[in-house]
Parts: sequence; C-alpha cells; structure tokens
Amino acid sequence: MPDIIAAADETAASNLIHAAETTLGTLTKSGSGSLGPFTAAWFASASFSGGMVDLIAPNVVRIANCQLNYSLGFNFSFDLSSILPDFCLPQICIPIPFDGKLCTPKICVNWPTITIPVSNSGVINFTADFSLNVHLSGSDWLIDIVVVGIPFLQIGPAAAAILAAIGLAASLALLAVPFIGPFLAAAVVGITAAIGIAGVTGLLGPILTPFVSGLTFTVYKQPKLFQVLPPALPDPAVNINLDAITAVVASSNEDELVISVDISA
Amino acid sequence: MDTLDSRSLRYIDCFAQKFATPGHVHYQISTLAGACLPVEDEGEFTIDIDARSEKSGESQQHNVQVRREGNKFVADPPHLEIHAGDMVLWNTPDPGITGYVVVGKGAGGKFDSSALNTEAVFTHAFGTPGEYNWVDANKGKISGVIRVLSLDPKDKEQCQKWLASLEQGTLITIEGDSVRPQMIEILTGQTVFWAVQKAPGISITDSRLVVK
Repeated sequence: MPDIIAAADETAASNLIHAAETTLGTLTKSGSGSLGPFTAAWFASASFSGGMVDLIAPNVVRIANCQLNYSLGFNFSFDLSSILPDFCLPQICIPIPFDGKLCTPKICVNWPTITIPVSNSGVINFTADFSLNVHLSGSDWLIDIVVVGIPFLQIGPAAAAILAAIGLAASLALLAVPFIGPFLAAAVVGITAAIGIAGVTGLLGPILTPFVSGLTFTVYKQPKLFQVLPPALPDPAVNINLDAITAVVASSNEDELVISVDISA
Repeated sequence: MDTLDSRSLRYIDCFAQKFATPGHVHYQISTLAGACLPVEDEGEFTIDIDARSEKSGESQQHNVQVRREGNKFVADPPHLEIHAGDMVLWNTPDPGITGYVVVGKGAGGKFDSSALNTEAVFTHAFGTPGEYNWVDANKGKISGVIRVLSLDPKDKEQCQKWLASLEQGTLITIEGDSVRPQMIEILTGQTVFWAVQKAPGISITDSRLVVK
C-alpha cells in the first residue's frame, strides 16, 4: 500500500498540461530545406497551448486540439532570368540642339537574382496520445508525458497561407527591380507557380514535425529528498525521501491520473 | 530606385561628346575616384579629328563600348578617326560595371563625363517608378524633377503602349543656369537625354546621392 495517493481528474490534468506547456516555453530550430526548386534558409520557433485532456486507462493521456503556435521566417533566392524574357530597350534617336540627332544603342536589361524574405506565423491544431514516464532525473522525480508516435499535422491551410505570403513578399521584392514594369504580375505568378503548395508543404513538414516528434511535457516535478518543517518547536525538521513514484491512468467512476508515492523519513 | 548620376555611368546610361575642333584627343576611362587624376599625354584611347570637308557629308555618331578587362576599363574600339562636328557616344553593355567616368583632353579642350561642359549629352533610362529630384553635384545651381510613372502590369493594352513609349526619348536642354523643361513626366523604362550646350562642368545627380 503506497504511503501517499493523489489523483487528478481530466479537468485537473488539463490544468497540469497547460502549466507544462507554459513551462516548456518557446522552442527554436533553424536549418535549410527545399522550397520547390529553390533552397531556403529558415528559422522557426514554436510553442504549445490549449488542448483538452482525455485520460484513457491504463496508460494513455490523449490531448485533443492542442495548439502548435509557430513562427517561421525564411529567405530564398530567385534568378529572375529563369522566368522573365530577354528584354532590351530599343534604340532611341532624338534631335539635339548642337547636332542633327543622337541615338542610344539598344540596351539589354539584366534581370537580377533577388532574395525574397518571407515570414509567417500561425496555429496548427493537433491531437496526440501520450504515455506516462515516471523517472528519477538527478535529484528530482519527474512525471513526464511523452508523445506516442508522430502526430499528424494538418499543414495544408498553413501551406496555403505561406504560399500567399511568398506571393506578397515576391511582389514587394520585385517592385524594386528596374524595368520589371508589365512583367511584375507574371513574375509573381511564375515564382509562386514554381513553388506551389507541394513545395511549401515539402518545406513545412520537416520544419514543424520535429517540434511534435518526441514532444514531452513534464507535468510533475518533485525533489527526491526534501525537508518538512514542524508545525511548532521544539519538534525538529524531518527529511522526507521519496523512495518510489508510480503514475497510471485509472478508470473507476471517472478517469483519473493516479500518482502513488512511497516515502521514508 | 534607380541610380541617377552622370558622375558614375552604368549600363543604362550613355555619355556623348561633340568634337568640333580638328586635332588629336586622348582619353581615359576610370572610376569616379580616378577622374581627378591627370589625363596622361599619351592615353590608351585616342580620337583623331579631321577637318570637315564637303566630302565628309553630315556629322556622324560614333559609338564606343566600355568593357572591363581585369581591373581596367577598355574602350572598343580604342582608336577612332572622325570628322570635326561628329559625336562620340560611350556606353557599356556590361550590367556588372558599377560606374565609370570618361575623361579626356585635346585640341578643343577637356571633356569629362563627370563634369559636363560643352556640347555633351548624358542619357539615363529610368527603370523604377518614383520622383527623382536631380541637382548638380558639382555645386552648380541647376536642378530639375523627373516623375517616373508606373503602369498597370495586368493590362495588355497598357503593355503595348508601354513598349511603344520606350522608343520615345525626352530631351532636357541645359545652357548656363537654364534648364528646359525643368519638370517632366515619363513612364517606367523611358530614357531622358540631357543635352548640355554650355555649362561650367555640371553633373546630373539624384539629390539623395549628394553629400551635403
């Protein structure tokens, strides 16, 4: 028979999870990946919030509608000559006051390679099953919930939003390109078409999935050895040692997260 | 925005000079920083100017392409034989050249693309919409405004009009402190010609580029 038994219902467990999400804070990653035919250097940050806990005996903590709040920034370079036609200003001749006329040569425009910076942030809801993992880490007992498998992220809407952001960023970058004139709209279409939803999804998947793969929330942390002060002197303080902790999902009248503790003084 | 500065010619610029006096001209091509150096008496690039005769016919225009070879600018062709009253126009087809200056001297005196004086022309094709307030960076009093208008890129009819407009240049004449016209409106991609009849070594420079 354990010395201490504590139980948390699903509402209380949700509060524990939300506190753990806050404690986990913002995670960051950076790297480079394929964006359609281009390479993009990216920087991403993510945090978690919300979610409703469903406790499923004997060992599953399901979090439904957990929110992955992401912020993504990336740059990619685009050689405009790959989508714009060769274009030359024609020879221009005009009469000048001290000579008959002067003619400029035909001047061919050099389409540059432009760097397009894109930033986008959004929320992706996901549902994932977690298993309980009670372990001693140094001098602390931890009760973690660890995601099982790789949760499915519905990134289609985010990909569409990012493709729109690419189009907007490309428009702004192209405005500064000399002589782009009537080619501007076609150039934006050319860039977004070259990338496509598949291209954005191909970039987004490998960036966001690692944030949820192996996702671990620490829902309980307690030093193995701690001191309990007496209610009144002259009784001395007592050192309590947590010898063992177990955590399970138990189902009786209602589903509960049950924590059992063996102690010694 | 465009870089509008006759002191530092790029591939969308031209510099032209009329040579009215027969004789020998030598010149050098350098960056703006090198324009203050004296022109060597026997420069790499030369122009021989013959006196114009009835056989010479009307005055002609001769084009010289500026290229970069290693660390040097070169003129192609390096030597010209022209008649008095002919124009010589310098331009580079290389968009990688970030700025050059043509400086020379001869029988008719000095000429300098960074300080336009007599019977010289500077042209610039405006690639980006906006309002360009130009001044003389060589401390003269002249100034002017170029309004470069954008166009609706989705309208095919406008596109055709735009392509046709590119064949029309706009002339600004400068004589002393007089600039005519002082303000013009053009479409993106159009070219403006500044014809300097007589001036004390002026530049055509975007006011934002002038260090005050």
